[in-house]
Amino acid sequence: MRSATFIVTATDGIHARPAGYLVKEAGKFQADITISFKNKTASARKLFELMKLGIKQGDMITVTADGSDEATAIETVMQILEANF
Amino acid sequence: MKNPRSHLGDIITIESPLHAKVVSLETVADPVFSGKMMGEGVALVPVDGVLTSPVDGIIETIADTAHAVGLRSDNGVEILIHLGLDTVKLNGKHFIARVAEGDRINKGDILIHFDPEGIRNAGYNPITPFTVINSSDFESVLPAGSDHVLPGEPLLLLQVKDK
Repeated sequence: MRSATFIVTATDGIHARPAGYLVKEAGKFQADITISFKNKTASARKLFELMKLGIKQGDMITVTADGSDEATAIETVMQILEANF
Repeated sequence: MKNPRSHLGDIITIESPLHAKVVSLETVADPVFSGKMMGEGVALVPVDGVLTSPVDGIIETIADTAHAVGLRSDNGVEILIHLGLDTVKLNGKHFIARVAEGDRINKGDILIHFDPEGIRNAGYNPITPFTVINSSDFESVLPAGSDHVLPGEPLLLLQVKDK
């Protein structure tokens, strides 16, 4: 298991659209991926859980992945959350 | 003799949340929706600005900009209604939420008031993808067939998987 903490730079944070894209991409990994923000944790495979986190640009989040491809999984999630949707 | 049809699950009818013209999801100019990343469904071109609940259930999530809402019906259907494309950028202008996360809702309850004309004038397309997030939990998710719907009229037909 490994995790990374970073600041979300995507202009509009994690709203429905990027969350949907994230779910799609997260499903391609064997690793279980979660995103934590302010005491709340969401599975990267669950759209509503991700949306409920209410993450905005500038928020600091932690991504955790557990599985054989965890390193690539974290890298991919970070790239998505840095992009502007 | 077993009738193979008897193995097919029940049909759940999901009703329209809007007075709208119905178009296929594939025509939506956003690959997140047209590429079915949000699940199967249809897109609605709103005629007016009253979004009502298509199901009995709860509000799972509502954007604080009120441009998108996620619902879970009592019979397990997870629905995302996204009012317009890229409308997160309006920062809540032209949208007023009438419900909050965790609220219990019934069919026909008003969820959001919005202004399709204002959204258009601000340079955004009010076309509204209506998708079943957990489409893979169902055997099929298909448009009910009308190309014009009033609130409460059939919009999607979901076939339940045989247990």
